[in-house]
Amino acid sequence: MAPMRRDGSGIIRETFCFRQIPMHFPLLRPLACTLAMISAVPALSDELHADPFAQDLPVVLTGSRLAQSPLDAPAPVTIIDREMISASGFTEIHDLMRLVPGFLVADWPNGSPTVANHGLGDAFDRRIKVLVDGRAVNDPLWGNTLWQDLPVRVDDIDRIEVVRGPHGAAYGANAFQGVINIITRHPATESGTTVISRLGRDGFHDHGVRINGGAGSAIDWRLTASRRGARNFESITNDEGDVFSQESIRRTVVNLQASTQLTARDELRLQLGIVDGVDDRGYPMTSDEAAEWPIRDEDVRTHYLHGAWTRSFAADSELTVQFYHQAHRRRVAWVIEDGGRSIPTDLDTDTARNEFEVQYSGRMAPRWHFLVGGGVRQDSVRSRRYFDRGRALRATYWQGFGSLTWQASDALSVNLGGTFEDHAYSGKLFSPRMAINWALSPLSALRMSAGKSYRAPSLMESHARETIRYEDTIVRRLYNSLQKVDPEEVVHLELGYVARIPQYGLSLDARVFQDRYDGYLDDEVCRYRPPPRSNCSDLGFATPPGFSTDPLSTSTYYFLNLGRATVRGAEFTLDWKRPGWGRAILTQSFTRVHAGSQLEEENVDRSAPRSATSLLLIKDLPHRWRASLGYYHTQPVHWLNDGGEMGNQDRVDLKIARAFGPRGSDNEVALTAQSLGGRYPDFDAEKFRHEPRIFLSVRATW
Amino acid sequence: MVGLAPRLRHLVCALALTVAASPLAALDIAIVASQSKGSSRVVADAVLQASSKHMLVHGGNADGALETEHIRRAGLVIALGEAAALAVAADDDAPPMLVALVSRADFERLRGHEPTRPMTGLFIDHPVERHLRLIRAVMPEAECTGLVLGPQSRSFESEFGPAADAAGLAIEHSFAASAGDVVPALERHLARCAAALTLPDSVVSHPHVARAALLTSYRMQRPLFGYSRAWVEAGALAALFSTPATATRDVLDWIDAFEPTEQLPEPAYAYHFELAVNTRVARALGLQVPDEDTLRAAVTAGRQP
Repeated sequence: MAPMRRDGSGIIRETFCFRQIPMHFPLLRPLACTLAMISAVPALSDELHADPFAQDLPVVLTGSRLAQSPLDAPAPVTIIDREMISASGFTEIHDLMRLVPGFLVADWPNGSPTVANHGLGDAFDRRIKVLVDGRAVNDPLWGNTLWQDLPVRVDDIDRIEVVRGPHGAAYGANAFQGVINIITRHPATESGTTVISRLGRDGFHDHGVRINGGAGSAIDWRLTASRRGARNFESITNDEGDVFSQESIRRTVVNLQASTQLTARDELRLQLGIVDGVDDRGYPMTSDEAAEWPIRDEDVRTHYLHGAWTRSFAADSELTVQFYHQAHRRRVAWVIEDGGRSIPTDLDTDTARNEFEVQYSGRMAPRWHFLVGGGVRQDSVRSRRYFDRGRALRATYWQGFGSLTWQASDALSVNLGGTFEDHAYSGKLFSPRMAINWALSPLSALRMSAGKSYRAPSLMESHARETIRYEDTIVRRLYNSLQKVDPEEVVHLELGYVARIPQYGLSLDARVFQDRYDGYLDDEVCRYRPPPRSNCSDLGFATPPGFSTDPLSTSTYYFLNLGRATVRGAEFTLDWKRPGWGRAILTQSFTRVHAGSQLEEENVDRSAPRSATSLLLIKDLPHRWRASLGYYHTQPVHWLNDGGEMGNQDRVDLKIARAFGPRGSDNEVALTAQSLGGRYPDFDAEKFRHEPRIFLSVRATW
Repeated sequence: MVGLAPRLRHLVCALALTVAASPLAALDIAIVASQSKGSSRVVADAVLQASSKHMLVHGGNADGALETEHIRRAGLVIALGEAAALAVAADDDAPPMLVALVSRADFERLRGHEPTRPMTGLFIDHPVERHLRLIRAVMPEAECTGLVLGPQSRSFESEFGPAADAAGLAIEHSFAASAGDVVPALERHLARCAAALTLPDSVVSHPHVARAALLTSYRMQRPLFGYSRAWVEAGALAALFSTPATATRDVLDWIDAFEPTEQLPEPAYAYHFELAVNTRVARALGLQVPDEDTLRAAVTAGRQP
């Protein structure tokens, strides 16, 4: 039975739920209909207040909902807005980081894509904290972000706020090289049903549906579902005849967001979602690596539940209480054939995170604004392979944070902030920061900030016992936390200048910076058996009990605080916009990494390109056509660990779109080409070539 | 006058008003508030305490005791708020009435119910032209403003042409019959216009719709202009509006200017106003808003005192 809705006149009428949901997603129908019934709950305040001067309206655009102006921010922030997201043609979230000065993006077939800021990047981007609507999504195992498993799609995003440097004072430990804060669209800002379909060469597809309900009623909600698949890497063979790995992925994502204004002051928001998919990756049989890493299916599933209650006292004063639970599961098993032995192995992993956080902001005097909060987080990881145990490994973290902003004069503001964290492994860490903003004019400001941030070791770095067993013996021990390691530290200092020149439609954000890292944490190799060099026993690491006399390999990787590095650089973003013509966003970064003597051999000093440029050019054309071109250039860079040397890279993307339907809607048909130059080297030029992509897309709302 | 037909009674009232109020004579004016507390009472007390050429008398509260005898003896009654107007209108012997502290829509509904009663209005609303002048002052480069009308605010439609000409800012408007129509309509307008305006309406201004409208405007990086302080606190960029203080000044100005004639003056918009700007929203949208004196001067430019 179709649910019924009571409108303001008391007339009961039928809602859309069945007839508007496309046939491709039949399972969504009962859910959408249930939501339609729930949202038909009468509004709390159906009549305007009797007192004409006392209309009750919720405080909607609060300080936490508004993007902080770069003129006022205590840290360098880049905002990727919806126009940029749409014009870029990117369909994967990590690719959007190419639009941020200093950020590097890579993908490789053996794992998740990776993002780095000003060097030190490798296969596990654990030095950048990623949040989705305030939910930390970094994986508890490695601390990296599983970009393709995020339960959010580019179509869900309202904007991304990227802090382009360490900011542990506001975001806690592990906001070490930057913070990527993904903010999704509020369900109240969409209406109707939207279908999105992208179809390209080599099996690329990305289809989705978005069903919005409750516009103007007590509950705003949105139900989205999408299914995508792509072949990212074909196996290549180098001049020496080495054959490298390949990868293709498939994902299904379902999300529900609901929000209700309980009173004029109180908003309740609930989000839940699930991602299900398969990675098909590995080395072809012709590769020497195929025995240990054959082509295999890795089943992945992520789910989350996130609730938040916000009480707004004023535009700059609110209390937020939030809780979320998220979990990720990977299932992959295969058999290593080795000299007549069939050795079963797997990479089965279950991770989970629960976090509770309270935050309060307010103004204690006209020129003094503060924010305080605290929370507790519990991470757990269960993996027999990585930890050589069946039970889950659990870690609990407590943190308290606060910041105080003093508007000393109309021109000068001083911000002091800090986070104190009691980390399960690293103990007590305090990340302080001070920023001074000096307004040269109402539309230009200088910023000076300095502080210290930490990156606590991930559970992998602190507890790994990666083990492959055959019968009762250990035939391989790979990652192995043989000794206590310290958190990485960075002392950061920057001087920034931000200006807006509205008469020319121009914005400028520039800065120079220095980040001094200490305790750089990396893996080293030693061997349990001869050859004599790098012998584990020389380092005091005993051969594990039960180690096979005929192991797959005698080498093991242990973690070590290797040393210091200093990164200095300059970067700017120039954003020019002219209504009717279009927009151009140019970013440029210059980076120098000075590795300490212990790190020179690790290629750390080549881990950032000396120069990197991005240009996103958006041109409005007649008859609602629009063309956008993305150009991304990086000078040579060396991705660390599993990565390798990359030469000069130039990538050009092009999108031609035509809008249709009502103005203001996102309806469009488009042709997008990613990497017009064809396959491009990625992560390690010797080994990996990312597939280019060309696809047609349609987006329609009714 | 009990027993006389209502139309005849009202004619007699109008004649009495004319005769009793010779140019040199002070008129008894009864002030009736809607509530014993709240803004209507605040305005009533402020008016009663002010000096006037007329005799201002306490007419009671609609939610308590009405001073019926004072009201009947008066040559004019000023009803502050819709409830006060309804209470006065229930008495067939009440004199002609000025209804203040009501929106234009509420007043027109009242007059529809009492078509023969001598009645005029002093709205808390401000003319559309004034809102447009404010938008123009804040965003000089704006060529048009979007406006979604609901069942009540639709009555403003007749003003749009002259108001747009006077303010130099075009209006692109549409009509939303239900709450669900508001956001799509707003999106269409904001795709073309640099800003949007809201006017009082039970559909378009409903708190849930207001939330969606404000979020939509921010998502599209185009500001919304409201008509109350609550709108600005909620996230609108700016608004001009009446407050109890400005409404008191409007009522006193009206009383001072009132010379009893054969007919009551035509209903009028509020004259005095307050301005509010949400500086956080302005900052977030990268807008530089002129100071209040500049805005006030722009809004009142060309206005008759």
